[in-house]
Amino acid sequence: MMKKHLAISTLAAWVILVTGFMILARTMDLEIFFVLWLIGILIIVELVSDQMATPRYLGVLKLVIASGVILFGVIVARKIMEILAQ
Amino acid sequence: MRRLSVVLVSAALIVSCLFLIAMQSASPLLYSPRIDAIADDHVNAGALTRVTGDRAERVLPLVSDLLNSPGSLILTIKANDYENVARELEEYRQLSRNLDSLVINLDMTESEIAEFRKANTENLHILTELSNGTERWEELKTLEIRYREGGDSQMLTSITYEGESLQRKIQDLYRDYLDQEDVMVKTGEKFNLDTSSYIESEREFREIVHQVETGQEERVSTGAGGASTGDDQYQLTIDLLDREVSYAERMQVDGLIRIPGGGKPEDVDIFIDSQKAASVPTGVNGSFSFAQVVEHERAGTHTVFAVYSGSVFSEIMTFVVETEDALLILKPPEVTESHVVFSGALRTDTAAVGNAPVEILSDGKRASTVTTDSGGNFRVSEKIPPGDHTVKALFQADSYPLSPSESAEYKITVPEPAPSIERESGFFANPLHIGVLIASICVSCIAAFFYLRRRRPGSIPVSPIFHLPGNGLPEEREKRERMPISPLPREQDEIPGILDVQAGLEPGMDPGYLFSTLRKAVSRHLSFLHPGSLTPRELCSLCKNLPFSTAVCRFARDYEQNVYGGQEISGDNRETILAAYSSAMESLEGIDH
Repeated sequence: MMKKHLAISTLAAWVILVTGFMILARTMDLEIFFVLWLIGILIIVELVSDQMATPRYLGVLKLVIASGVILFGVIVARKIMEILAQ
Repeated sequence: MRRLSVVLVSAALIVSCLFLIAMQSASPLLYSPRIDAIADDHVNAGALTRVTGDRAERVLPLVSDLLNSPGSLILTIKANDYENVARELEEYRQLSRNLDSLVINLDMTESEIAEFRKANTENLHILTELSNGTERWEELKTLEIRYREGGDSQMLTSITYEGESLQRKIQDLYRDYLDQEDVMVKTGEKFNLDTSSYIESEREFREIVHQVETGQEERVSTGAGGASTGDDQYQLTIDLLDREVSYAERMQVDGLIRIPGGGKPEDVDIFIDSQKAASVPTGVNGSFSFAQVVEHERAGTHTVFAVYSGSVFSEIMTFVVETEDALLILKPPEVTESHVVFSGALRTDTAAVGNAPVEILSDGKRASTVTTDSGGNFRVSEKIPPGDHTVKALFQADSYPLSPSESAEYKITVPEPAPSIERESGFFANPLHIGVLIASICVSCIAAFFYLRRRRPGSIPVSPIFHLPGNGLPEEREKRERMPISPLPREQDEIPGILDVQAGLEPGMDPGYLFSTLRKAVSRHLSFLHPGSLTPRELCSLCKNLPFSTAVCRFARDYEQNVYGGQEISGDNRETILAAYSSAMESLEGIDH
C-alpha cells in the first residue's frame, strides 16, 4: 500500500474513532473535534514525511496544517475571552 | 531512532486523547430511563418509577444515617463525653451537608425530603444547643461544689440563677425536639427505615431534662439561693410589663433597688437567658427600666433577672416570645433581557420585618438572596438563564420568632438574548479582548510559519531548478563553498549546468546529498518542476525509456538498499553508491552534450 493511501486511511480511522466516542459521550463539540483532527493529521504527516523527498500532497497537507494552527490560535483566543468575560 | 521516538510520542498522544474522551463518556448510554423520564414527546411510566427509585436509592442511606445520628449523639451527651460529642456533632453536620448537596444535585423537589431537611436542620441546631447547655450545666455543678466549700453564698446564688435559666432552655429544646418527631418518623416510615433509634433518642433526651430538673431542685432546696436573694438590707425587685410578647413588640423590665442608708444606687445589670443584656442606670429613688424590641429572640420561654453590684439578685421572671405569622409578598417579576427584577415586602400583621434575608427561588433552586430594608421591602435584579421558569420568594425565619413564609409562584419566560451588532461591538470594544485575539493570532501565525519552514536534520532544502545561469541560490552557493574541494581535476566549462551541481564531490560524501544532486540534475534535464517531491523509485520511473535510465535506476537501487537498510553504510557500499552516481551523472553529461 502506498504511503499516501495509508495516511488517508489512518486519518479517516482516527476521525471516525473521535466521532464515535463523541456520539457515545453525547458531547458533539466542533472545537474539540477540530483540535483532535489537527493532532491526528500532525502525527500522520510527521510519520509519513520522508527525509529526502517531500511529495506534493505532503506539501499541501503541511499548508492545511499551518492553516489549522492559525485556526487553533483563534479558538484559544475565543476561550480566553470567554473566561475573561465571566 | 528518531522515528521510534516520534512513534512513541504519537502513541502517547493518541492514548491521552482517547483517555480524555473516555473520561467524558462515563455514562455512554444513548438511552437511559432518566432521559426518557424528562422527554417532552412521551412519558414512560416505567422509566419514571425507575428514576424515583434511583434517587431514593441514593438518598435512603443518608436519611437512615440522619435518623440514627441524634440517638447516638444524645447518648454521648448524657454520658458527658464532650470530646466525642464534638466529633459526633461534626459528623452529623457533615451528613446534613451531604443531604443538602445530594438533594440539589438530584434536583429533588419532593415535599417530604424538603420537610425532612428542615426538621433535620432544626434537630442539628437543637442538639448543638443541648451540647453547649449540658456542658455548662456540668461546669456549674463543679463550681457549686467549690463555692459551697468556700462558703461563697453570692456566687452560689449566681449559679442557681444561671442553672434556672439553663433548665428552662433545655426544657424548651426538648419541646422543640418533640416537634420534629412527626416529620422525621413519618419520612423514615415512608422509606421503610428503622425509626426506633430516633424514638429512643426522645426518651434519652427526656432523661437529660429530668436530670437537669432534679439537679436544679436540689440546688434550690439546699439554700444556695432563691427568689429573694441578696443581703437583707438590700432589696431588688423586678417586674415585666408584658409576659407574652411577639416580633417587634417591646419587652420591658421595670425594677426597684433599695439600698441601706439611702442615696443614689449604681447601675443595675439585666440578664436575659443568663446573658448580660444591658447595664441600666437607676433613678434617685432606685427605680430603673429596661426595654428591648423583640427581633432575633427565638420563640419560647426566656428568663430575666437583675443583679446589683454583682451580689444582690432579683427574683427570676419569665416571659414568652410567641411565634407570629410572617407574610411574604412578591410582586410580579419584571423580565428584562436576561435579567429579572424581583421586588416585594416581608411583614407581620402589625409590623414590617426589616433586615431579614429573603431567598429568591427559580425552579426550586436558590437564585439569589436579598435583605429587606428597614421598611421590610426588597428589590433585586438577578440574571436568569433563558427559558421558562417558576419563581417564588422564601423567608426561612431561622433566627426570628416568625413562621416561615413563601410568596405566590410566578411563571416567567426569559427570552434568548439576540446576538446584536451592539453586543459584538461591545465585546470588541474591550481593548483586552482585542489584545488577546491579536496576540493569539500572531503567535499561531508564527508557529505556522516555523512549521512550514522547518527542516529535518540532515535533509537538503529543495530549491528551484531554474535560475540564472551560473547563479545558484545563495544557500546553495554557501553550501558548496563549505564542501571540500574535489581532488579530481574537472573541466568546469565542459558541462556547466551539470558540473554546477557536481562541484566538490569526493568519495565518502553523504549519499543523501548525492541523491539530491542527481535528482536535481535529472529534473533539470526533464524540465520537471518539483524535484523535491521525487523519491528514488519515482526518479527511476521518471527516467524510464531514456538513455540514462539504467544508470539512474542502478543508483536508486543501491541508494535504497544502503540508506533504507537500517544499518550504517560501510565504506564499500559508499563507494558503490558513488560509482553509480558518477555513472548516472556521466550519462547525463553525455546527453547534454
